[in-house]
Amino acid sequence: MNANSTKIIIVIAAIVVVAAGVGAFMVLNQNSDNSTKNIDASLEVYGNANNDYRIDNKDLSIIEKIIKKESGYTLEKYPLADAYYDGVVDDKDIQQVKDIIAGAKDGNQFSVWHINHTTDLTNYPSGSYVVDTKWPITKTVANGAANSLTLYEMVGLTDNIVGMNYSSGSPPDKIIYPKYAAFESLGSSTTNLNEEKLVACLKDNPGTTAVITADNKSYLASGCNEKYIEETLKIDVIRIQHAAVDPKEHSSAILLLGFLFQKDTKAEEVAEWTTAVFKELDKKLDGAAKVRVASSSGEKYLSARNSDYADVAVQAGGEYTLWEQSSSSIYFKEYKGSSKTYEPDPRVFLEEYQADKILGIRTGAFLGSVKDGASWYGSPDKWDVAKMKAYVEDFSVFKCYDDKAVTVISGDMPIVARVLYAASALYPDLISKEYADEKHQEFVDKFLGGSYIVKDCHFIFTQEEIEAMKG
Amino acid sequence: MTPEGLNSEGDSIPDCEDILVEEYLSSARIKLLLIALLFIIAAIIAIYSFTIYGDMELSYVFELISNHISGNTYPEYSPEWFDDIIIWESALPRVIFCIIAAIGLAVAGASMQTAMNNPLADPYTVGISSGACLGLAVALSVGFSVNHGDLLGINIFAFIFSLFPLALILILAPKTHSSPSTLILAGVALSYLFNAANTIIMVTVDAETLETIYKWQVGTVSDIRWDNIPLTLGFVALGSALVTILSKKLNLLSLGDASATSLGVDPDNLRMICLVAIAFIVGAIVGSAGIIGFIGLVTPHIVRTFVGSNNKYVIPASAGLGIIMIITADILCKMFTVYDDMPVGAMLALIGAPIFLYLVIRRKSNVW
Repeated sequence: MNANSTKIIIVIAAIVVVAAGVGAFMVLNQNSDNSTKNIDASLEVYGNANNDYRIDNKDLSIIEKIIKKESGYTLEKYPLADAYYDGVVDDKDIQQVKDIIAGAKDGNQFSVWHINHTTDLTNYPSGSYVVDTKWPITKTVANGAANSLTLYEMVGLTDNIVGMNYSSGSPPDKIIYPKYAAFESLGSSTTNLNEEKLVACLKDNPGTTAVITADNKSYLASGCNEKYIEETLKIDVIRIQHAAVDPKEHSSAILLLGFLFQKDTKAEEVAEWTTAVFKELDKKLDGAAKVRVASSSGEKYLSARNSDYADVAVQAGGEYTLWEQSSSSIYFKEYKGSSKTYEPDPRVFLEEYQADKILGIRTGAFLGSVKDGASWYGSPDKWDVAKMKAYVEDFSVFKCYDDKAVTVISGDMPIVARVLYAASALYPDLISKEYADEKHQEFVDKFLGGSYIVKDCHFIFTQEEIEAMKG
Repeated sequence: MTPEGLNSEGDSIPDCEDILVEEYLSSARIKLLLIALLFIIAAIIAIYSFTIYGDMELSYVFELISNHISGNTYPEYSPEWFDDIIIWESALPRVIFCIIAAIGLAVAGASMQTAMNNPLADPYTVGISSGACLGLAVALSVGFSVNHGDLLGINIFAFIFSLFPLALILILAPKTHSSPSTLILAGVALSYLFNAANTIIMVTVDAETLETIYKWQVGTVSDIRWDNIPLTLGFVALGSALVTILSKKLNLLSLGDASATSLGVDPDNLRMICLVAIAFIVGAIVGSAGIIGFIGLVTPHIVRTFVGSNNKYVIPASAGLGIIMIITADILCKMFTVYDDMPVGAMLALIGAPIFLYLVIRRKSNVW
């Protein structure tokens, strides 16, 4: 063997060793991308011991340290380390996390434990409870609330959803959700499922193991309720904070959906992008004097402080004026509170809550009949202008109405975009509508498959624009 | 001259008493036949109602029930497994509850009208419904949740509150000599009181809770599960048995208090015993399904046009007709609504009121 041959063999051997090493590294680190993403939110699944955005080898390491009783590593400090959710950290938790990292194969499912959120604070003071869910989910029934639809789309669940319940007056928009719009609703509204229709859907779609609904306590509250679906039909109920505006809560909901359907990568991309945009917004608004704002989601109603609509205003940098009104929305044309009665002039009641700005956050029904084609994404010739004007005019009881301070924004768009438009209404000098449009389009292109062109649609109306409309 | 008691042919002549007895027996047989017919029709409608749950063939429904009883199970998530759930967990408790509720409300209605000697009395006359409504509103507003299917807790809460008006009446009765009109007026006053409290709570709760309370006020059986059956069945069975045993004495009450007293009945005591029985019957029903109106008021009136005013016949006939009406209404609710979301109470009024009006207009004799 000459020297050249020896060199060639050495080079080949070196390449083989390096390739084997790289291959081994990749195999060992499958599903455990160690690169750190800029995501503040937590994946609320047991096994995610370090409470970050994914389950990976870092979690295994923590669990092993807890088992070995290493200093500083306890279940109390790392509650999500109990992957098997049996109250102790042991080999079963190691195996559970390894199984999750390996991913379910050949259609086999096993139970994972995660957090469900609820607004039922009486029975669940923490606003959450633990459930077990057959993982991964491949087919699910889902509620068709506008906020939920956006979440499903951004995580990429279109092909996983086999049935949906929504209100006939507010069906999924045909332009951006054609598949969902084609579903016959499985209930009379987003809150209710009809058991016979649900069962028919489950029979038609074998392998459906979950129902996704919202955290609001009115969802799946009666009849075909959570208990019936879980215990009798043996279908998992997943409650997500679909309308959460807080960046961490919003991203947590996205991460949970991504995990449950094994769409982690897409979910992490969305969460990372969302985190970055909210941080950028905070930076732009840093130091700005707070604008006093009230939100409204219906004719003659103002939103309570604990509503998602108030949260949009707050996340957009506003100070919510109706902070005392914590639990129920306020009918401001004829307000009657539990301890005081303010009538007949609502100005008396509103005096101490006067807002600098009012944000109307409305679903498609604001524009007219959704059935007849009125839509934020559709043509203005379908709009019910008189209805739109009447909604705005109702705010004349507020002083700021005279300053043209009412803005109406769409409740049927991604929450990030909603917050940006709200910020543009509250702080036009700091956040322009064009900036909101730009970020909105970026989101649509990245996560909604470019399903619409933002500038061709109408997601925000100023009071002056509505008053100038003809009709 | 023919011997006394024989006619010209030599046959015996029935005396007047025999004729009356014969006519009475004949009439009684017809009434019993009519009652039996009502129950046969009720059974047919109840059996038919199973087929509208998931559009199943009757033979298939029987097969599912037979297999379930004999312990034959289906693989989980198979079509038969789902159908079995629909029949056993939804249809069966719902139909059984309808039967129990119809019997209870009809019995309560018939006996309340007799006890109060008032054709406008119904099971809710003494404020039971307003008490139950307040119970539900309080339960929901203080934090009982329907979120995770904890309906039974709310049902029991409503049941307990439904007995409050009765308790007040029992306390007040000795001081007012408990005449029927006084009791009715006391019931009206208490209803106003409880309704006012209920309204105060309703204006302070959120929209979702308000919707739940409202739906329940109309009366619906679409949320009924097996959990609701034992309590309702127990109280309706006991109460109905008691009222049926007292039906002869109740007949005497319809002659007026003075006549009843002269015939050895203590009207005040009897009335109070009936009220207690009725309160437990209706409280148990209302606690589970809300205020199902119409049956208690109207079925006794309808059956009186056919079987007269004897409670011995009115009570069972009302029960049979009540079952027919409530299950028919429930079938129509399911047939004419896409999501089974029409309260059965609304449908009952919709179909029952015209029938009742027709009977009132056509009635030639005053059987009340």
